[in-house]
Amino acid sequence: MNYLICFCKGVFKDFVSTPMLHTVTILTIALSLLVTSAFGLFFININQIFYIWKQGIRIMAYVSPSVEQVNEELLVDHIKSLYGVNSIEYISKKDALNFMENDMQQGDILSHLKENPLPASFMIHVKPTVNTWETIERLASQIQMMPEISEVEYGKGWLERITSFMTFFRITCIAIGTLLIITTLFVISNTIRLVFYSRQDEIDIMSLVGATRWFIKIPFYIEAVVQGFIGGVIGLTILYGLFYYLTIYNFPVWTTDLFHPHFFSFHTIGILILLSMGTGWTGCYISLKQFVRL
Amino acid sequence: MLDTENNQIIQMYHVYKQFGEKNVICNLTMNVENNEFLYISGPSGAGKSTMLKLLYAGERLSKGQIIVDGLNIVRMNLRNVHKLRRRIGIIFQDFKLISSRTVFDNVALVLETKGLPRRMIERKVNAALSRVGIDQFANAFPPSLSGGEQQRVAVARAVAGEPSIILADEPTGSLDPDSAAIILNLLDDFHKSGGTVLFATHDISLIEHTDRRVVFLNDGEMYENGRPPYISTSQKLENYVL
Repeated sequence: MNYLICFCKGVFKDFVSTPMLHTVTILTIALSLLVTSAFGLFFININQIFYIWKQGIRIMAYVSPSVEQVNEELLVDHIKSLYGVNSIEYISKKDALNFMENDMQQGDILSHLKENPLPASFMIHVKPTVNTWETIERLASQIQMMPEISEVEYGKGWLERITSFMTFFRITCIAIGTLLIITTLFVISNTIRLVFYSRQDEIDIMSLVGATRWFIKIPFYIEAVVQGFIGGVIGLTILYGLFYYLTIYNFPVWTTDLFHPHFFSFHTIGILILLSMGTGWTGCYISLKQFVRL
Repeated sequence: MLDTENNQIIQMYHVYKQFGEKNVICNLTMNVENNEFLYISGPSGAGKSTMLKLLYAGERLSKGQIIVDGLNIVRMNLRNVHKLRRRIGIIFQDFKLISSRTVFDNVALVLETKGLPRRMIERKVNAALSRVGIDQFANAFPPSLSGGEQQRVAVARAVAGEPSIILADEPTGSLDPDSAAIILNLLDDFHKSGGTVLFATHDISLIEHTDRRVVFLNDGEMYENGRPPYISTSQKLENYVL
């Protein structure tokens, strides 16, 4: 407890004595977290749109004309057992004809047909949690391989493009986030090094009067974690301000019946601030490990 | 921790210290008894400061053995140096005070490193400042004090941790005669209260009339070791030092 009071006093004094250095570090952390979190926020909202859209993804599997009697229950069970299937609906030949008659303006044309040319089919709804194009393709090819099925349709082209875009976007977010964290670590470690150099005499004297290496180092760690915390809070506050301005205050058009843009949950905010504090700690660790021999 | 049989608080055996090819300390063997006031003298570059640095592990020795208050410095891990330094008070010619901290905080630092409660720190620091007669400057910053006053702060810092040994490296080197006499008296008081003092100086006037043991170093080797009248006369001392 005595040590803690002593450390906190030292950290406070240091913040007061070198305000510029600390302000720059805090703003760097805030900016890095702001950009990374903005990407993250954009990503989770886009992901939500994608999720809603994916609820509508379906695969049409047509029964082969050579199959005279479809064992509907057996096929449904078989298809349902495949990975990624949410629900399945059987459309008999008769139902298909009825749908067509209802859709066509001149439905009586179909009454002249000698036999129903439409095949029976299964409408398969994919689980919204299936997030890769490959999974949907694998599911379609598994259905295609069934002897009773002659053809499978699932909008391959645009589905491929959208899922590829989402994958690319996800990788970009992770890459930019990683780069920003590395930059932040570099800035923090350099700031701590500058503070250390500016206090070199003081640290030497502390060592001469019997201070342990931890007595000397801990204030630097506290300082870095406090910088991380303040930077994190500032970054997220700015992000919330921008989010509020863009979505709620200025452009409510973003909000629809199906989609409401949302900010990070308290849980995620907590994790982001911890991440920011962890970045501060790691930057300090790198600096002290690399440049300080105590 | 003391070598009780011989009452020796510092033991040095065949100590060498090299900087590159140069021997700064060469085959130095000597002991310091508990509660002894020992002068270490010699011309500039004789190895006085290096010898003191070896004693507080400010430098690692190249060869030999040093035991200080029961701690073997050669075997000591760098991480445990604080254990040694908490048993020693160090005074420098250039005071080594933290200019951004008040006099009180400078002295308190020694006790803060030990994790003492704030109230006890306040009591001990005030006692140390009163002891050296500068309690009125407790809230002043070192640069606002004279050299003599700053050195008294350094003495207060050295004694505040209640060490068994004080290593003083030219503590009067940059002071006027009156201030030097005050510092010497303060170290004398510490000695009388049971402490051991190693006082490095090249000031001939301090040692020529002393009845205390004087160790003379020259080019890193022990030149003479004894008490007047067993050592050289003052004339001889002057020739030697100058």
